[in-house]
Amino acid sequence: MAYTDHSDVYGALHEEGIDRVITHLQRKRPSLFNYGTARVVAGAYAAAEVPPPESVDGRRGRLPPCEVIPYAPEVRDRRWNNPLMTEEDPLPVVGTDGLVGMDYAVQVTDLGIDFAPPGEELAFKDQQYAANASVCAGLGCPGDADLDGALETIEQFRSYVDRREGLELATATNDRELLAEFGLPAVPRADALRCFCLDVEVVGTVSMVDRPTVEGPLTIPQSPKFEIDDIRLTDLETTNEFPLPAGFVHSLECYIEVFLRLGVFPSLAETVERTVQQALAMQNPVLTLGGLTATVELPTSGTVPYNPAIEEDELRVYVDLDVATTGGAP
Amino acid sequence: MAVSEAGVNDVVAALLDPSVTRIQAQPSTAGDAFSVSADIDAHLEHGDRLIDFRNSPDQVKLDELDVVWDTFDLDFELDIPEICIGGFCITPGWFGDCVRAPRKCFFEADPDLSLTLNLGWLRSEISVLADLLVGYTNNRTTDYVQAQVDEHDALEALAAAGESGPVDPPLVNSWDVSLLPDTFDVDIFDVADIVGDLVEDLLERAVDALVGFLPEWAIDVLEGIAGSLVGFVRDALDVGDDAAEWLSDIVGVSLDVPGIIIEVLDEYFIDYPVFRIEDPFPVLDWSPPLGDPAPSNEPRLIPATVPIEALDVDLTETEVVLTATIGAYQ
Repeated sequence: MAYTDHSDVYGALHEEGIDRVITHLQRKRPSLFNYGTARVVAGAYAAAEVPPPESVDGRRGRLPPCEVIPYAPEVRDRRWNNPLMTEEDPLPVVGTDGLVGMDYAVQVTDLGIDFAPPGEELAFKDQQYAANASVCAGLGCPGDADLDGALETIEQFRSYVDRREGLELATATNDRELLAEFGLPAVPRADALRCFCLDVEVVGTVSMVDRPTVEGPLTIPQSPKFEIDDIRLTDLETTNEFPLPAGFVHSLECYIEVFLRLGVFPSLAETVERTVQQALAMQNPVLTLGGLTATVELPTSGTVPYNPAIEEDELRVYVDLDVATTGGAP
Repeated sequence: MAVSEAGVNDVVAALLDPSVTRIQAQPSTAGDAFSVSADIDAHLEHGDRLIDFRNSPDQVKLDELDVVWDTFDLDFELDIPEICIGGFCITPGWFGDCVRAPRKCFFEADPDLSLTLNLGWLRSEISVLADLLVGYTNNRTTDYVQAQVDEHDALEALAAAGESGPVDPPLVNSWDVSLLPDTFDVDIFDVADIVGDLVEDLLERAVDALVGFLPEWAIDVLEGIAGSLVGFVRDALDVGDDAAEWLSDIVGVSLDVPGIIIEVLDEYFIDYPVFRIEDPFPVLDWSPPLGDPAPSNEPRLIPATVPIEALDVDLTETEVVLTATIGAYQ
């Protein structure tokens, strides 16, 4: 049976190829996979033994991230000075009006696509895929002396606000200049991050959505879209050894899902979608030279019920080309 | 990726549409006694199955492609050396002069003869048998970082000049799939027998145009000097024993009409690859794209690309299969 029995063009991306694309992406855009507060960012450069960018202030201390960040040499080339981590605000401590925060890091260390169910307990629905990810996170837990110092600072601030007539606490906590005068928000120092790593499995669906794009001479009315349906912890050995309340596990899963769905996944999905799209576009100099245009169609039928289709560890697309002339010889 | 023979036929059919591909030229050649120029305007016609894939060995056959001449005029210009009769001295005069006989010169004009031969009714045929080859084009350094510097600098220079990319010629390396002709046949005259008669008719028209207006006595005189007038014109045009071969030489060699046709086909099928994939293959562009302003104090994120380690091509009777291997990060 030929690949093109049901279409003009057939394209397939093997999951191993997608995994390689993700690995390249991790090395060239490490800031997409690694997030931390200012001290952790400074610590990441120290751990990697590379000078930090000017914007990174290491005077307030350094905390190494949970995992050393692998990166391509060109990331730290002085001409582009790309970041290893994305800097985030400290994690606010509840009950401090946002005046105290804690250092933390969240890192996606491994990520891979699996187009086949990993085990019998996980039966895929039609056109579902799984993404296996290892997420490491850590919180900088301060010592008593640093906590006392932070407490003293916020009491001084509150006392100042009380003394000032007409100044509300809610207003004062939004006044960046005033906060800076008091060294707020306070981020009590920790010796190190207390880290843990979890394996999670993301189950999602690939579908085509109406999103017309033009790639050279080709018009592609639809684009593949990777969506997340569910996310679950798969580090079952760990959770069995140290049983945790179900609500805690679910909350953790919820937070990781929100983090992946809003933080990491959009760029990652864009990369894979773009790879599929460029493969569909088939850079064809002959079309360009001849001034031809073509519209890519992804038909479905009784023999091709899903398009794209997830089959045999591959993401497959079946494409019909509608070629048109625009007139005019070269 | 696989592309069906039918899909390729659709693309090629669109490419050879008369609104896209026309063969237009005005070649000319000049000899001592005569010159010939052509006015050519042709389009291509073919059946449903123009491209034929063959898999032992892997070859592509482009068969029974007809050249339809919308205009195919050969314009001959003949300049015959002047022939004068009379003017000789009949009787010497008293003062050293003489009484001369009346003088008559023929073929004084330049050119003496302009004739057009219409070959527009001809049907010509082309057939090509080509190998499908994979090659690698180096348009940039293989040093990845330096390549990125070059691309960055070139795009910045374009942006500074108020222009947008892409850089031309592109600063990319690429895997190219190209056709290399094994045989390339252009058969201009599909009815050679008629061509001989056509040339004989041309010669008669030429004689008529040259001497048709002369009185019988003058024709007799000319034939007395030059022999048979048809033979005279035949010699002037250098038409040998085989009239069809003479015309074939003029069209095929002197005016190189097959070369003009091949040049048009070369432009689409030979000079440019039929498929190209960039190496490394871009999956994420610069962020923000070069040319767009970068946010203050924030670096421009480098593009993410993946190396294409190998590109294999396999031709079957019904489709061409391309397999690209994405290189692992090293």
